[in-house]
Amino acid sequence: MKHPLASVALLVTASLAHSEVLTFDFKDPKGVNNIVFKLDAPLESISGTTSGITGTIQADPENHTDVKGKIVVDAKSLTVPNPLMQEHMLGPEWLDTEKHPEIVFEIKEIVNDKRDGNTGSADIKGVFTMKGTSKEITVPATVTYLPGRLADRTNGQQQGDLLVVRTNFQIQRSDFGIKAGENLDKVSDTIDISLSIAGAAPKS
Amino acid sequence: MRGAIRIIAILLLAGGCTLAFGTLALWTAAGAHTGWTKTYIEIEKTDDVTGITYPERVNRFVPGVDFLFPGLAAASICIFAAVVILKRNPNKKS
Repeated sequence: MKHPLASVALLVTASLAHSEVLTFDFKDPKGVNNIVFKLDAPLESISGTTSGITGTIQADPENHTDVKGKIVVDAKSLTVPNPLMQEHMLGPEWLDTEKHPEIVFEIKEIVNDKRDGNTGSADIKGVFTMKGTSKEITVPATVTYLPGRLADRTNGQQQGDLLVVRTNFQIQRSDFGIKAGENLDKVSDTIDISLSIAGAAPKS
Repeated sequence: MRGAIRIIAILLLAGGCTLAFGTLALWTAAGAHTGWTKTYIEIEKTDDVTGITYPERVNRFVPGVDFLFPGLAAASICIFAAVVILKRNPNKKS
């Protein structure tokens, strides 16, 4: 007969295992992680993308509010299809990527957390830093936890979990000192940002 | 001398017409894009595991209005200059 304490120990161990904080790395060798940004303009909206995304998020899949981490975008990796526009965008008057090579979103707090199985939605409060200016913003996000699915992405070479984060939000370029109050007839102040990223937490 | 100037004017006229036709033909053949010129297009794909939709880049030159209008403007200047030269240097035989 099993000792009753053994059962308790097993339960505690199982409970601890479930409340494990995992570190999800968002550097994606497959180049699937992407951010799309859009600005309204008279002739056609300016739309660009980047896949130069790195960063880590520490999250407990069982407790969505216990999340820390940051997402970093290589500012030089932002691209638009028009080469002249690209040059202007990365140049000193707009993003000044030589002096400010990174765009960072650092997570501070998770609020309004709603869960449905392995999928959840929440408002993420954090600090958004662009062109050397930091501003606290709140972005609505949907998060999907995919336990054991890392193997599917790596052809079975690596075991682990995936965390998929999607968010759509807006910022004002004037808030970050990007030609504040200038060229509003040519490019809108509002930047629409859509982020779709997956982070991997390998298991050794 | 006058003959040489007329030959230059005719070459300018032919060049202007070719440039105008070439610019219009290229712009139309590439889809008559009324936005800015693009050096690549993006095709939307979906990752099977994560369900993430991502843009895949395909290098392709898509001329826009910033290609069309300067091309037509340069052609117009050539044609206008040729017409002015031909009017100032009329053919002696005619």
